[in-house]
Amino acid sequence: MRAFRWIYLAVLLLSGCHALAPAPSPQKTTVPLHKPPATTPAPPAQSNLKAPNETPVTTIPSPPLPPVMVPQPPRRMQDGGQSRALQGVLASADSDQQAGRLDLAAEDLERAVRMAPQSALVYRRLAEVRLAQKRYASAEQMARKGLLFAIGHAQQASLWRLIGMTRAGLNDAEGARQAKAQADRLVSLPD
Amino acid sequence: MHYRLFRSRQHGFLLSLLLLGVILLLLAAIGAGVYAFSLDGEVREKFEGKRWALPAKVYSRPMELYVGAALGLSDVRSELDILHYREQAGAGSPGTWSLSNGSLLVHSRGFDFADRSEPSQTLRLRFQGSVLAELESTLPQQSKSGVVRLEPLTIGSIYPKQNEDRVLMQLKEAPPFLVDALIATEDREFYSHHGISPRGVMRAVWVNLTHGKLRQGGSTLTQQLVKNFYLNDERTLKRKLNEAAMAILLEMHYSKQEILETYLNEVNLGQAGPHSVNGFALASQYYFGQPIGELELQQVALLVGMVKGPSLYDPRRHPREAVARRNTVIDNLYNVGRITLAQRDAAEAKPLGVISNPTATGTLYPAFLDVVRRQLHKEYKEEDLSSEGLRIYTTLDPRVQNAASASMTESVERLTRTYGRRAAGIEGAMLVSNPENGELLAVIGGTQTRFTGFNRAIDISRQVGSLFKPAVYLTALESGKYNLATPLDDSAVQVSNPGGKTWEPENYDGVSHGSVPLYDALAHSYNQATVRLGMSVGVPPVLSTLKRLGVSSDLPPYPSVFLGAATLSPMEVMGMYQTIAANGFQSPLRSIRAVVDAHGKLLSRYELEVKQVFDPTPVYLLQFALQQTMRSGTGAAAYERLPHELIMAGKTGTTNDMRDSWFAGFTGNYLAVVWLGYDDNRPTGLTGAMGALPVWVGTMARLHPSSLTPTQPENVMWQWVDHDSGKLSSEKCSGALYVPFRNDTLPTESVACAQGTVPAMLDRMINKVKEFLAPR
Repeated sequence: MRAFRWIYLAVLLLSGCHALAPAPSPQKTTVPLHKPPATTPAPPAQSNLKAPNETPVTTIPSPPLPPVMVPQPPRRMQDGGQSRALQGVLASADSDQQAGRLDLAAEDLERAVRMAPQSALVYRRLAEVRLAQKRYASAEQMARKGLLFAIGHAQQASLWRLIGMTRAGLNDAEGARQAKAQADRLVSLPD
Repeated sequence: MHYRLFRSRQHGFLLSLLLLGVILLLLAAIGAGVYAFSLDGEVREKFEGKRWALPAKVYSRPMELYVGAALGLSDVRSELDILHYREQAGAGSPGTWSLSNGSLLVHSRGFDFADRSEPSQTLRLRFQGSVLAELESTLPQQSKSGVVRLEPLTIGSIYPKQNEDRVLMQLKEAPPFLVDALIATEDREFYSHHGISPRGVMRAVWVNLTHGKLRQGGSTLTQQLVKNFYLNDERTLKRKLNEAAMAILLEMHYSKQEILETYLNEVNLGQAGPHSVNGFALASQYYFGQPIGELELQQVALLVGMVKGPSLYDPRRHPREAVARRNTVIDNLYNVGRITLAQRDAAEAKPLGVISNPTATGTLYPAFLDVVRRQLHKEYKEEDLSSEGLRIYTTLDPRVQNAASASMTESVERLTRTYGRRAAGIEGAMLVSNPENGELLAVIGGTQTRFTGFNRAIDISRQVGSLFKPAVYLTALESGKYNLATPLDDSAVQVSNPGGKTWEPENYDGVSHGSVPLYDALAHSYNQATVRLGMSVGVPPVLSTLKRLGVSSDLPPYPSVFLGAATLSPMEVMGMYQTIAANGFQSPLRSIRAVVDAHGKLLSRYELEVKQVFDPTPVYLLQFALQQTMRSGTGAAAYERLPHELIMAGKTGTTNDMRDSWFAGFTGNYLAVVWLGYDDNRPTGLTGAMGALPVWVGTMARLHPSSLTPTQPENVMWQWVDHDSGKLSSEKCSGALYVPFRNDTLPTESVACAQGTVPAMLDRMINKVKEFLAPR
């Protein structure tokens, strides 16, 4: 038993660097331990190069594998979370919009963008205000920005519905139909 | 029978003389009357109607306080310092703060914004590190949303042609002692005379003779007011008589209160460069950085003392004379019984307390003001801008501006120390914006403190070099033919020009790096790999990408565009990187939020606009590569000063012969572009990393940059791939990289590194050893 222990310890020492290598984490590259056998690089380029050269593979080719689902980086967004202040500003925008003070509502919402720059909800509200102001092209762009931050199919669907309304405002019937179809499709998907 | 009308010839002569005299007197009286009438008209005209051409006032953004705001104690304290708040136990009066038991008490001054009024209130703030954790107010019901705004900083004015500047005040806003001190020093008979005061003149002569110095003025406040209405300072007898007559007329038409109020707003109290400082309210801002209502006795006395001679008693240039004159005024107040002996002694013992960097007259942020002015001139005529008392609310963040200035100065000093005379005359420009909404937070137009009107942030057009490379890579990533791990060939490359000549761009370090993953070629800014990539995707698509990114300048339709053989201003570079930082959405860069007229009515709003010009996915991938620039590429020096956990992205730019040193980079909350170079375009000897990058880093180090949090699009998947081949690998393999891919560009082949590799076996063994040796 003791001998085994020493063998294992020797192995441990030999591979000390490996154990101490930083654990791979998202958005970092692992430090290569050993360079794999050098694959011959592409021959030097000629003038008027067109396509990039494929690096010839010298290792044993494996059959193509479907990409393994590896863990994705955690999602972090500056969307204001449960901030009461943000909710307060949105409520203020609501009451301004209902009272017809669209300019003030837009100002509240721009404040909300500063507070929560990656919130789909804020951009959806901005799109709604633009819609009320009959600024249809602008409304669609706000909704598109909201799509960038939308979490879940329900949020995406509501934004596509808005886009449908903006296109209707621009008399783009086909575009409106497509947007609505997209919204319906999203709603039917599991979240 | 005739009457003899005249007894004698002499009588007749005398009588005709008398008649003539009467007629002449009548004529003179009529003449005088007519003259007085016209004078009267002149007085009324000057006094009423459009009394003053009010310059437009320009404000910074107000600091917004709310629970959860990314503000630490030091951030709020910095803002309070910039606003010239004073520390006072208990923070009992507006414009004060106090720290006790870990709470920051702030007694805000309040401000009348365009949309809502923010009343003066006392706030209690508690912080948790860099976050505002608790916020209470004595007026909680005022804010529907829980957001409280501090007042904005007045950063300047847009002046009328006469170059006068003023802030209007009402008589009731005058602080205690102001009116008393003015009357005691300049015109003791003010309330009893009718415009001119012979007694006053005599007393002044007597006092000045006996005391040997100018203790009191001889002309009344009314006369001084009249004098101020004239543009030049003619001191002829005719002028003096006119002024006296007009003073009397003025008193006939207007009350003492009206005359006094006008005087307080009219009197000249100094010169700020080309602009005169008129009125006590503006003088209060200019000398003390405080609103007039906050001034204490000794401060009031200083300003009143300056009435007699604003340059002679300038507290910054002639402090000794200023103190002596101030104390004379305090003495006057005591002599007329308005203050006690104790008050007099206490006030005279106080220091001048004048601030050294006034912002009210627009000397502190000239480059930003220049940007604002140019924006306004597109919509407003000069006359309206400078005379209607408009209020302009901008996006300037004074803390960011101060951080940027300090960093620029620090870098220039370091360069001068390192390179001596060779670095003399190095110039620079910098812009900082909010990456999500395009609001400009800071602008620097040059490295020298004196602004000459040449605003390098907008007015220069310089080669951009490597700053264009991201456009090549973005084009490639959008095409679907490349992913971030595609191996690129960085060996020597030759391109033939249409003219038949060949172009052989070399890497900066003169070395060819063989096969490198696509993202790495960008991170290290390899010219050879980039040109190859560009030739592969083609010049027209790259030009199109640049146009979509917002570059509107003329671009050469040649491969040299891949390496930035085009000239742009720093502002245009910022527009390009804004679109990259905002995931492919273009937002116009804005320096103004709103313009409001003198009565509070909204005239224009500069709104948030967004326009999608790229699908977010290729931009997300590009952002990954730009993050690697900071982690392992040409921008890696940034992490020597900034925290390792901070996720940021950027691109260095170095041009031919190092004539330009650029850096464009962004975090979660700041995007900044820096340029360094010489006006005469001679080589600087600085790469982007050596010159511009430290300025960027120094700015971020003084602020609280938040990590970039890119939103992963639905069609993006992160995978482990092999560094050398770009094929699928796995986490435990050597040479494996964790990289994002668009679904349709995922590699389909994998490298032979799976479970059976030596490193993986060792890994299993080591785990067994650890288990074995673990304490039982």
